[in-house]
Order: sequence, then structure tokens, then C-alpha cells
Amino acid sequence: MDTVNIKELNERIQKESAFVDILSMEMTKVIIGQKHLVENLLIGLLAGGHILLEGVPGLAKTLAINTLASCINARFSRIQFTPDLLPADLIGTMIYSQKSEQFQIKKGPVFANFVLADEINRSPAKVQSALLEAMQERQVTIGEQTFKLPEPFLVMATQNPIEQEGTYPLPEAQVDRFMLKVVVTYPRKEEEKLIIRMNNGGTFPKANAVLQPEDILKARSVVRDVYMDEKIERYIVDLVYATRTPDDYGLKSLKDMISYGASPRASISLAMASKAYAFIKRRGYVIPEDVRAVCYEVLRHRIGLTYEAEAENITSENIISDIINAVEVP
Amino acid sequence: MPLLCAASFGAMAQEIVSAEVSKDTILIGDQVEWTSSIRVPRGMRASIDSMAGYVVPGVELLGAFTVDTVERGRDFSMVRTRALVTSFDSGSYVLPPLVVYFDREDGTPVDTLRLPGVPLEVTTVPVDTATYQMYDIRPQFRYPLTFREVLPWGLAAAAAAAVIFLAVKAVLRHRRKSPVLPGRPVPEEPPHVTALRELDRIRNEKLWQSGKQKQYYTEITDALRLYIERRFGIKTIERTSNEILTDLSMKELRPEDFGQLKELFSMADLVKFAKYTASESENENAVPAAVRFVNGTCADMEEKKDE
Repeated sequence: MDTVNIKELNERIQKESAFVDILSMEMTKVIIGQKHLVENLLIGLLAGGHILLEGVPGLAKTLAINTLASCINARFSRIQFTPDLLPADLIGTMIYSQKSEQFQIKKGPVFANFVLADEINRSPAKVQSALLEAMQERQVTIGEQTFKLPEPFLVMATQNPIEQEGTYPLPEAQVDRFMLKVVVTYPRKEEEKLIIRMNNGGTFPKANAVLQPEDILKARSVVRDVYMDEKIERYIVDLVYATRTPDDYGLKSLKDMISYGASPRASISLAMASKAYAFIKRRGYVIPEDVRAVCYEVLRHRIGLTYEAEAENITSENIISDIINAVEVP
Repeated sequence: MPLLCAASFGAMAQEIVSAEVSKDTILIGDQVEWTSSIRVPRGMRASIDSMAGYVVPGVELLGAFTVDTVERGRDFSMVRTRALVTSFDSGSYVLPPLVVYFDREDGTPVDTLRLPGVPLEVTTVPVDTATYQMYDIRPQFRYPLTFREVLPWGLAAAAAAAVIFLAVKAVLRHRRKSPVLPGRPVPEEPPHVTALRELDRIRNEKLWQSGKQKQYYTEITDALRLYIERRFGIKTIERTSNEILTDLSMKELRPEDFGQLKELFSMADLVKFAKYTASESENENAVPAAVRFVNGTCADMEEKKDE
């Protein structure tokens, strides 16, 4: 068993994670409040996981993603999902060139470091699956040629929980590909006052590019080095298993509320997100707090609710709370 | 087909005694015997026409005619024919005359005689239309329960009663065997006593000296968590160190006790989750620090302080 020099690891993390503060500061120049949203965007960025943002219109979802992309000197593209969008509009297509008398490949907006898929549930399944395939495989095939997507590649999708008419809800298998699902809430009164003041002032601040894509790739490799003890791994597995067999954890009442539990991909995501959270907290090891901090974002879209649960207004957040309060902490 | 009434006689004879019915007036559906007596000279034989079904419209023949020789004299024989008739329609009827054929023994016909018709009156049940009252259809008749029907149920009830009786008896016997001693129930061990005993056990096991540092700190924090849960009523098993400390900060704890616990928990977290190798002095100090926290926060100590 190799020994970990925690002091050395902590020092390394302290050094490597210094940019987190700068990035957060730059983002808070533009985004007022929404600390939770910003923190989760950073987790997704560092853990290499795609993010699904859900919230009512006007909560700075798009602005937050836009700002994050601006803070990093990387290629950014925004795709507004509409019902008439086609997969070719997303990944690209082959165009006949009269000049060269040959078909040429025209790459789509998905060839960027940061892709903002705005209102992803407004497009039909074929467009959604084209994007989600790119997210999973990190490569796109146009015609007979396969292209690797640039690194870092991060998809941040937004969806609106209201106005469900004419939308195409993401199927469970597709939602599972998002590492985090962040629910954006309203800002506090004081924060909202600041937002008004800032907008009325006419001088809306702009975020500066403070990082290069290479910095993110380097930080990701450091995040992977964050130490996770076997006890924490067991804790993660227990949390995920409790969504599948709540009976085994003394949660008999949840048995009829859960139609399907979280997948092994959830365990992987929970571990990676916990490491990223520990990194943000400038720690070289994961503690149970880190797991609990990201648990809702990782699991909420991976737990299927039964009709009974929906009838009783029980949400996946309620179920996660019950699980967290029942599973023994190491 | 003629019915034969056998008798042998050489001379001609045509003696007919009678034809009658046993009752000349019957109630509808009643049966009446229609008989005839024929005197047959010796050397001759008599036969009558057999009938079937309706004798006359409204009067039915029940079965065939029976012929019986009732008397045998020197020169003749007395033959009696008998049949049952009934009617299901009221009215006045005349039973038709029976035709009797006399033949010699060699089959040569001698004479044909007709018996007189017999009157028959069929009456119906009189209905008193003045006092007539209609009744509803009678409901299904329920026969009283028989012993055979009741027997299985009775046996089952008796068996159930026997089982209940035996169960009660067994429970009572068990209770009698485990006598409840009079007096107050045994008080539960105070949490600090359990915690101190557990910490003493951990110290004596010499875990960190044998390289089991992680287990050493896990057992110390487990003992403290259990103590805090029982002493302060805070849920600790499903809480993280920071959450426990946050909950404890709401309680009235001396700053030195709180600080001691915080330090111990963060050290334990480092060992448990960060593969941190604590120094010898840190290990030696871990159990005494836990004991100091328990002694400083146990209810007895607080009572003493109050005094």
C-alpha cells in the first residue's frame, strides 16, 4: 500500500488551486449571488462533467455559462435549441464546393471548448441525442470522417421547468450523461437589489479571460490525484445503493417511491465531483462533507420517481435527504 | 287387437252381466275403476277391443285392460275386465260401450255384443269468488340445520378454543417461571461510563502501537459519537464531524472541551480519510483527549459544578 504524504499533497493542491479564487472573483463580478451555481459550474469544469441547469427564466443561467466561458480563453459557442433544429446544425455537415468540385466538411458549433445548449428540451430527440452522443464519445462523425472534439470539452445545457408545452423532455438515459443537474433558485433580496443597481447603472461589468484551456486540463489531472480513502468509496457506494435498495438502509418507506435507482455512472460522477469539491476547498483528500455537498446535484436526475411519489409531492431531493440522513457516515 | 277371454264351451251363449264404474262422480284428476263382467258359455271364448289413450275426449285410460276369470261353473265362466280411467277436465261424459267378440275355440266367430255406455261426472274444486284472496308465491323453504351440517363447525370451534387455551396456559406458565422482582427497574448505564470503559478498552488494545492507526482513530471517534448522541441527544451516526461540531456549538459547552473535540475530530478525519500518519505523541494524546472531553461534559460533572 503506497503511503500518501498529505502535507505534500495539500501543498500541491494549495498551489494548483489558486486559480479557483481568481476565477470565482471574476465570475462574481458579473454574476450577483448564485454562489451555489458558480461553485457547481467550477465542479463540472474541474471534474470534466457536463452540467444541466434548470431554473425559471431570468435567473442568469445563460449569463453564468457565458461568463465562465469568457473567463477562460477558450472557444465558446451557443446553440439555441428550437423545434426545427437539425443534427447537422449542431455537429456540421458536408457541403458541395463548386470550386473544387468536391464535398467539403463544414464543422458545426459543437466544435468548441464550451458549448451552451440553451433550452435543450425545445429540440426533438434526434438533435438531443446527436449532442449527447458527442458529450459521451467526445468525438463527432461527419460523413465518413470522425473528428475529436477539442479539450476541454464541456457542455452546459439549460432547461426550463415551466412551459412544458411543445417541449421534448430528455429521456432518463440521456439525462444520466450529465454529471450534475443544478437547480437554480431566485437570488436573495439584497442580491436582487444589487442586480437592479448594476443594470440601471448602464455599466455592466465584463469578465476577463484569466485562464487558458491548458490550465483547466492541468487542474483536472490534479483533481484526479486528490486522495479518496476506501472508507469514502464505501460511503459513496452506500449512498448510491440506498437509492436502489432503500430497504437495506432502514428506508422501507422509500421503496414504493423509487421506480429506479442511480446507475454506476452516478457512483463515478459522485466520486469525481467530490474530488473536485475537495480541490475547490483546497484540500488534498476527500472527506464525507465533500460527498454530501455534491450529492444532490449528482443524484437528483438519476432517481426515478413512482406515480405514488409524484401523487404525494415527494421529490428526488426529499429522497436524497432521507438517504443522507440514514446512511452511516464513516 | 282383441283381448282374449279364454273359455271353452260348445253352445252359443250371449250372457252379459254388467259394465260399470266404481264411482259415477269424481273430482277432477281422481281415478275411477271401469269394470265389466261377462258370462262366457263353455266351449267359447270372448275378447274385447283394447283401447289406449283417450277413451273419449276428456277421459284418459291409465294402463291396459286386465282380464280375470272370477268364477268357473259347469256351463259357463264369469270373466271380469278392469281398467283405470281419469279426467282432467270437468264435465259429464259417457264411457263408450265395450264391444265383446265371442268365438268358437276353432276361431269361428259366433257373436258380437256391445256393453252399454257408462256415465261419468267429473267435477272441479269450487272457488268462492266472494271471499277469494290472492297470496304471494311462497319463498324458498329453509330446512332446519341438521347435526351433520353443524358438526364440522363445532369441531373446528372446539379445536380453536383448545389452541387458545393452551397458548394462554403456556404464556402464564412462562410468566410464572420468570418472576418479576419487586423494586425499581435497573437504571441504564450513564453514557459517560460506557464511553470511558470503551476508551479504556481501546487504549488497552494498543492498536496504534501495532500499526492499526486508522482503526484506532475510528474506534475513538465512534465511542465519542455514541457518547455525544446519548449525552446531548444529537444524531451523530449519520452526521459528519463538522455537522456534529455545528450541532454541539448550539449546546452550552466549555470552549476548551469544544476545542479539544474539534482538534481530535480533525486529526481523526486526517488519519481516516487522508492516510495521514500521526506522530507518536499525537497518538498517545488521542485517548486522554477523548477522556478529558467525556469527563468535562458528563452530566455528573456538571451537577458537581452546580453544587
